[in-house]
Amino acid sequence: MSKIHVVTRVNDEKVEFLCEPQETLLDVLRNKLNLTGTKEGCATGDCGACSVTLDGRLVCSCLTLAAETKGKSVGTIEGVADGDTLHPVQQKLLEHAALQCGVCTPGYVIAIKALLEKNPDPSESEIRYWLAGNLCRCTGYDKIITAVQDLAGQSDKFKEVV
Amino acid sequence: MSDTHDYKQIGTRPIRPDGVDKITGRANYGADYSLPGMLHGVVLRSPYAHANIKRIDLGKALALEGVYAAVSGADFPDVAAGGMGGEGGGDFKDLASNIMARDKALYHGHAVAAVAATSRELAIEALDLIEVDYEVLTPVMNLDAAMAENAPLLNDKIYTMGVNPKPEQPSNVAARMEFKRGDIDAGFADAEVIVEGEFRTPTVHQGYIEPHACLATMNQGGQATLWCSTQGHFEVRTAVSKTLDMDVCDIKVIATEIGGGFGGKTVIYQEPVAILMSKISGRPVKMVMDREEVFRASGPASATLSKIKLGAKKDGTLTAMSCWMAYEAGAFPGSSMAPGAMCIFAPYKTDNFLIEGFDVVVNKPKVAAYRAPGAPQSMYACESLMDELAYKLEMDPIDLRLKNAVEKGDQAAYGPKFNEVGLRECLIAAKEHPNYSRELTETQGRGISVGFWFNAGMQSSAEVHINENGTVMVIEGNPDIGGSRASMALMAAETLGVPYEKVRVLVGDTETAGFTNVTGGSRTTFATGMAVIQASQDIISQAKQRAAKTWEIDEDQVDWQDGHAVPMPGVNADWEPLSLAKIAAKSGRTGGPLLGRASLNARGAGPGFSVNIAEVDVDPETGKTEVVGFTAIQDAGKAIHPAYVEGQLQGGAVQGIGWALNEEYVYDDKGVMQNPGFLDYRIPVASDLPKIDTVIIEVPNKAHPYGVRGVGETPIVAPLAAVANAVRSAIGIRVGELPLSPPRLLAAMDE
Amino acid sequence: MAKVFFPDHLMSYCKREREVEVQASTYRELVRKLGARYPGIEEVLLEDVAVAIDGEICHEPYMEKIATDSEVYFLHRLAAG
Repeated sequence: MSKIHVVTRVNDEKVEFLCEPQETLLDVLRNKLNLTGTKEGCATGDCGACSVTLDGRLVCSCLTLAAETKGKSVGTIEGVADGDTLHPVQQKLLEHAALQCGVCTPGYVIAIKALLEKNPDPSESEIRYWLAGNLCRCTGYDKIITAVQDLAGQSDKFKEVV
Repeated sequence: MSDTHDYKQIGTRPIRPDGVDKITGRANYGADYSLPGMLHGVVLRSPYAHANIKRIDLGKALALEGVYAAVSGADFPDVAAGGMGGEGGGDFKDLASNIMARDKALYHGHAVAAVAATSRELAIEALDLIEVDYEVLTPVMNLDAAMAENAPLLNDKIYTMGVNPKPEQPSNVAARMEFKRGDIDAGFADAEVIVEGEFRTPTVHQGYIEPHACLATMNQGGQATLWCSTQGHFEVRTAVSKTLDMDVCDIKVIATEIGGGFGGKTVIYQEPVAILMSKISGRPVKMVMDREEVFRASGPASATLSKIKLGAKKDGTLTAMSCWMAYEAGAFPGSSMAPGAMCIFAPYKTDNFLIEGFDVVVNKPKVAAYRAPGAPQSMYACESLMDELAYKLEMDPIDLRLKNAVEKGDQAAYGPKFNEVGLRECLIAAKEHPNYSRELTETQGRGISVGFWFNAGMQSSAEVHINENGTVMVIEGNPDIGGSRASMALMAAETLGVPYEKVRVLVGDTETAGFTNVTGGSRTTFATGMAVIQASQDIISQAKQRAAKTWEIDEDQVDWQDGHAVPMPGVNADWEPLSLAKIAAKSGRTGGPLLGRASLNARGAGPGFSVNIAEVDVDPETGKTEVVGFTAIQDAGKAIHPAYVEGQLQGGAVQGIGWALNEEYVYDDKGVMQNPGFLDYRIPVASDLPKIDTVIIEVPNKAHPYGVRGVGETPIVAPLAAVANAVRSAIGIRVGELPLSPPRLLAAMDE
Repeated sequence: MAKVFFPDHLMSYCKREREVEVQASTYRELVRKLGARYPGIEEVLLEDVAVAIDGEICHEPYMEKIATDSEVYFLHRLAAG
């Protein structure tokens, strides 16, 4: 089978790659573009460790075909911080000690940022249901939820939607 | 008792040193490493739960273009039987046979061959070309089947250990153990109330989010370098050395960042396979499990059956406790039955007890340690029955436990007398907690449980280097699984009197750090922390020497205060205090760089007790249990970084809630796991849970300079029974088998 | 004299005595003296057990100090999670 030529944008930069038709965005990010910040926990869309945005929409990169990103814009963990300044979501998660092993953390950063851009003032229940697709086995979720609550209601920080 | 020390940095909540790397995706975990020319290794796994392997032919796979190595059991060296150390640790010969089956496949998913090729897809294609002839045998899938008379045998060389005289027939029961004290019959005769119960727990998985991953390369001189996600790279080195018959000095192991372990990454699976295929191919080999392989062929924790009986006086005083308990070991002997047996009655003063434990092989993956290995299962049984005893005595469950709770000077059921322990403090904190007395609705229930784990010491090393500007580099050997760099930095900063922000911590590889046992056993902050403190004290003593040389006075005329060398009172007062930075800046002329070090075998780990309060709501229509409140109270000795201690309590609580309500391996009649993914093996998600309230009790452990006990394991012990007791309170029925899933509860309520 | 307590799994070595008194200042000396009394136990006590001396557990005992009033308990070595 011949490879597909894809031109897309990743973290606001033009990117080109060749991929197999069945190749996932996750595999291309990690193996072809060396963006290993996006993690694989299950490859079946159950754990959320591979969360990225596609044209601003939260998706599992393990369930997204790389070829689908043609002409679109992909946002990964590597593009979240603004130069040498951490994004408020990153800063708050650190301040609340909301990570232990940290392998699920990139997925959480992407998912939380997507939530707050859509709904800047979510209730605890809305936070918990939004994040139900991101598994964390270390923290019991408590400090992650608290960190997001700490950010809720600060809509000025989350105006810009990618 | 409370801690009266006035610490400047310990007990604060700074951002962890590795935080920015982990929050930005820069931190490299097991699967994130690559090397030029790297091959991808994959494993062929047995499609049968129990089968003799008659023949393996790798020829066609090897002939495929792009395949550079293919191996099966015959390609690995014979490994001599020998203990891996630690009860339940198993045997190196068994470890080797688990890594790659020899004559027999002992579970569905057991590795029987492996291939390394230029891409993962090609390697998977090559697996299809491997020919294996199996003679399929009857699988033995649970304790009842394994212990039945005339049960099919997994291994005809297993004769039950611990039975005197040695049995004449082989058996699936690998070991029997007995722990007892006093006169059990007299104790029950003395009882005014007796309760009995049977409790079962299912096979569960540790469920770390990062699958096992490694990258190996071996040079033509036989020297291997291995990157892997592990809780203990020195133990990986030992295990590789034993299973590949290599010299330890030819194996360098670099612990990558680790994406969770919970005990499941204290053992190895793919590492020797990757090294062997690198040796054969002359290229680096990377091996990463997928989630299905993680479920089918790594972990899990033992399924258990406990038959337990308690006797008490009407005032609640326990007179006798007995338990018959069997633990599934999986395919090879070595479950965590012994620590389970040692923990079960540990919280209580008890003159008469009898524990009989069995380690049983079944056709499931070989169990691995899972957070307080063995204790959650046995203490679920005991704490459930304690709850029934409280009902029968019409006594408050906390009062019943307070009546019998151990304290300093009491002899633990597992042998020694306790020093200071915080069980009573935890029970009192639970009783006084508002969550213990708030109103519940009709469908809600509340339960409590005690938890216990020994905590461990063992060997650790640490170095402390002082940079030329007085900043600090700590080198230690424990993979940071939950914030240990932060606690090491805090302890070094406190000891040296320098700001936390000026301390960096490196988790060294096996050639950089001194030998250090695993990140496990709740030992890291206790034992490695002790090494870091001692290495910091070594720096202080050297800094005082350097100051003495600078001032041309005797060393004993120099004191250390607040990060500075100062002259002792009465000594020439004109000298300005010398900071670590000033001493380090001129260390070249006083004897060279400042390098402190310590290595130790830490003794005196402080036992950790906890009390959990669970509040649940059980839907009478569906049988679904919702946890509406959860309170975790635990004696930490001293919380070095309280936020990460709370995190341990909360994370352990949620794993325990999952164990109680959702999680189990579901097998078909052929021994094939039916739910090897996170969709069907459902660990708790954020929307399943309430806030997890925490209370940290601090009864200092006198064996540690700052009073640390270790906190990682105890948190998973109490939630099982706390949730089960809350469900019992909500529905008025005791269901003695986990998980308390909706169909099981519905069936019980319909009866 | 230190008090030494034997658990069930060592009963076959110690002639089923549960508790003995031994004069020793280190663990090694204690083991040597027990070895003289109970042939075969020495290797087990050095290689296979953990010990609690006055409540402090040591995973791999060898040169630990024993006081005249110490209480010594032998335990299974434990796996860590």
